[in-house]
Amino acid sequence: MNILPENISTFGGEIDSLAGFITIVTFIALVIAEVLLLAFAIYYRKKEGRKAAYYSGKTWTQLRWILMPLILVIALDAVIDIKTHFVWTLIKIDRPYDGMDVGITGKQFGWEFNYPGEDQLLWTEDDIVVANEMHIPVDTNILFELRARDVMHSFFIPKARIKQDAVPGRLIKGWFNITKTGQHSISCAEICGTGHYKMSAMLHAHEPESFQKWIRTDAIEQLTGPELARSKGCLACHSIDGSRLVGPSWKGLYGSKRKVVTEGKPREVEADAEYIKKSILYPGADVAKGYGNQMPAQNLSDDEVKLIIEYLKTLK
Amino acid sequence: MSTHTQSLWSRIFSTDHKVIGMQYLCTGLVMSLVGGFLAYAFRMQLAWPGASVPLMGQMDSAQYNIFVTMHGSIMIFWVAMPVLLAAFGNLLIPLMVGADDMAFPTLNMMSYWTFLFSAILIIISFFVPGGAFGGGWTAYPPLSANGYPETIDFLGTMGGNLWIVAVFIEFVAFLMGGINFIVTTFNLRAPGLTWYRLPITVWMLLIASLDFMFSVGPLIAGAIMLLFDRTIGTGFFNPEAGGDPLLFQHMFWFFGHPEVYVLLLPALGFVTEVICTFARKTIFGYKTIIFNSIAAGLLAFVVWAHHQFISGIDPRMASFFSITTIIISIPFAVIVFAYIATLFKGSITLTTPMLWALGFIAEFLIGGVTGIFLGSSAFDIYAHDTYFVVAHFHYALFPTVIFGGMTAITFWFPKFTGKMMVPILGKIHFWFTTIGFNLLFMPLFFVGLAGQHRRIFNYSAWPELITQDLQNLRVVATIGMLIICFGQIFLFLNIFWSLKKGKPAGNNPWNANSLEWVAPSPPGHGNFAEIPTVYRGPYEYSVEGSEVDFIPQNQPPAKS
Repeated sequence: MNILPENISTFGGEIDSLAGFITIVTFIALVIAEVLLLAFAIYYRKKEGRKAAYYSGKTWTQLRWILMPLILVIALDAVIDIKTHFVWTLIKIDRPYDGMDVGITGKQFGWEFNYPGEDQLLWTEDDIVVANEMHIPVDTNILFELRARDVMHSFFIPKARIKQDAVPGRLIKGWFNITKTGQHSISCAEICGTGHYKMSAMLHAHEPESFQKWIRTDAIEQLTGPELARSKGCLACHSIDGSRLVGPSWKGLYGSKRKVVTEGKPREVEADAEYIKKSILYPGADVAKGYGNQMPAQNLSDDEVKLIIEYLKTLK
Repeated sequence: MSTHTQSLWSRIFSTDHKVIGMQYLCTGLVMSLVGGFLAYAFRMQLAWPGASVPLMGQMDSAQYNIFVTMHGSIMIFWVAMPVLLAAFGNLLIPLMVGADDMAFPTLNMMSYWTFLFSAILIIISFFVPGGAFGGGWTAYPPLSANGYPETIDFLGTMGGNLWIVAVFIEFVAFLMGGINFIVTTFNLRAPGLTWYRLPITVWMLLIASLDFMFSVGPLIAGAIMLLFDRTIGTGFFNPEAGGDPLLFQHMFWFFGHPEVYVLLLPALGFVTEVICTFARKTIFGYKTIIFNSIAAGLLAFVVWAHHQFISGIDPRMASFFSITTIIISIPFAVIVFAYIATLFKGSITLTTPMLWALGFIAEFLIGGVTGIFLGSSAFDIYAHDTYFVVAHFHYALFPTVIFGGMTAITFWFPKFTGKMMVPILGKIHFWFTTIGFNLLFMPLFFVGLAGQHRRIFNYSAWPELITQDLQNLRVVATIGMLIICFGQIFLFLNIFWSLKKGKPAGNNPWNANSLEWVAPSPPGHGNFAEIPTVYRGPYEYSVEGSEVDFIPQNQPPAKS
């Protein structure tokens, strides 16, 4: 029986066993009720010469027939509530003290993961920031701090049984501990706009040594243009094959004449390096004609902008 | 009974509660076709991603979001509310309490026309630049509010403003209707009709109206604040300006959860009338049902945050709402037990309304028990915003609105049209709808448990979610949807055929007891030839020592 996906976190098993318990309890109650309903509806069909009985249910003698099952329902409800409380407390309240800090930022339409740099603090200048790939060591408490840059998002790793909404203006703390190496999908479970359906990321769970190797080398290595475009989420809205998405396609864009709207007035510009840099850093300045002003400003370094421009030049 | 002739004008702008009820019912049915079409389109996209949808064409992600948003909004606000509460509240309350009309007939008429205006606005919103609103029917800011910071893809088009205004106007309409229901029930009961002789339907409509009126205030305020955030630059929900997006969620769900019971209670009322009539049994535990319904109506105000377990509220609040949520299952368990006890040793005829009523109980039970999973805050960490939630609330709302609504439509059709419906068409319609419904929503529990999250136009970004097994389940669900669509042909066939050629119904075709069956079918203006006097409760079926198996409420007691 694998109705739920494979569990890969320390507390996932608690949720699964709670689900199993509720399933057994409710399924038995459901089957009894459905069978009685069906049996009565069939067995007490109208027959000539038989008159229906008259039970008003006004006396306790009659009412006990529904009160006795009710006591059972209340007792089982209480057990479910108590089990729920313990599992909830474990996951959402008792956040461990020791572990590895990771900052998670939800934004339209991707995830950013911050790892503390040399100062050992999150959300500082020297953080190592990785887009749409979360790398973590297994068997380690991952103490995350979750933010949203623009609208509500919801950080969801189905296999780890963890979900938490990201709310603009709040820093929400949580934790999980992954027990199995490999790659596991991350989704955004809260509708966040037209690109919601593309807002995925991948959790890479490493052995501790291989994680250390990743954080020292791969994480800070220079990215290539296509990798950068994918990891920054550009390709969620800009196609590279000429098809129309939320924004204009990148195919043949570089060096072409573009019809744009600047402060409400249409004009024509050449898509040179200067124009592209401006469009990345200040997307609202010149909006491509026929498209909405929907692109968030991208906080890219000069080197990163150059990488994107070089990539655009290749897309003829 | 007044017999004055009426101009066409005064027939359309009628203050007669039956005309207004019918107007609500017909508008609700038309809107259900709109809501149904939207569901058809996005289910086709989910089963065959990227394929061109017949009658519609290829879908993109913006359209998909608009369709799921508008499907939810229309089905709740413009189908469920008008059909269950407004239509049957209007049709039944004055007749069941033995009054000649509502307490405030003109206000009642205004209620409908205000409602119709809101329905027209929401339809118009599809055609404005940028299309209708696509931020989910819960309209969570900042996606639905002003930009945070300024340059995000927020849904700031005209469609969103129209959505808010339409919802707001719709609430105004139901406030006018609600006050009418409450005052009529309190003040216009026929002589002898004490509180404990009221049909349970009237009780349920009363509790539902009170729940609606007490819960809707915060959402009306929230809607206005959202509109101001969007249009005049306030920052109620904008953290940059000191606002808080979570505030809107509280305002929404403080209304949103009682709303479920606003819909459910009337449906339970209709089902009560029907199972008593067709089991020829008195209701088991009349007061038990009423007190449990009142308890549920009160508890409904302290469960709202179960929609927000993982929304960023203080996690220490969760256990409180988890406990209240699981407790609210108890009154409904009692009511279902009472129904099953009512069937016990009955003399059951499986007419079309009875099939719908039994179908309601059978299907709603599934919606109820799956609510326990979600009420458990810990399991909700996993299940929240997955298709498990979608399946759960459709198992709660589809039986409530469609099964409950059809119970009422098929049961009271003879009363309000004077014609009987065709039983065989009714049964075909029932079975197509029931089979299609289960085929549609049962698989969604499993795709939800597999981790499929909501409001996704195409799952290709998640390797775990594009397996063949999951895609097969999505196709099965869509086939279920197509079966439901096909089955509705029989409903409309039945309605039009019966209106034209149905057998005359007579005053009391089902041998039922409550006062509406005393009036002629259809009841004229003023309802009763003379206001009836009530001598007993509405469920005196198969009374021991009585020759016939029913005793109408207005039949004087035999002289001893």
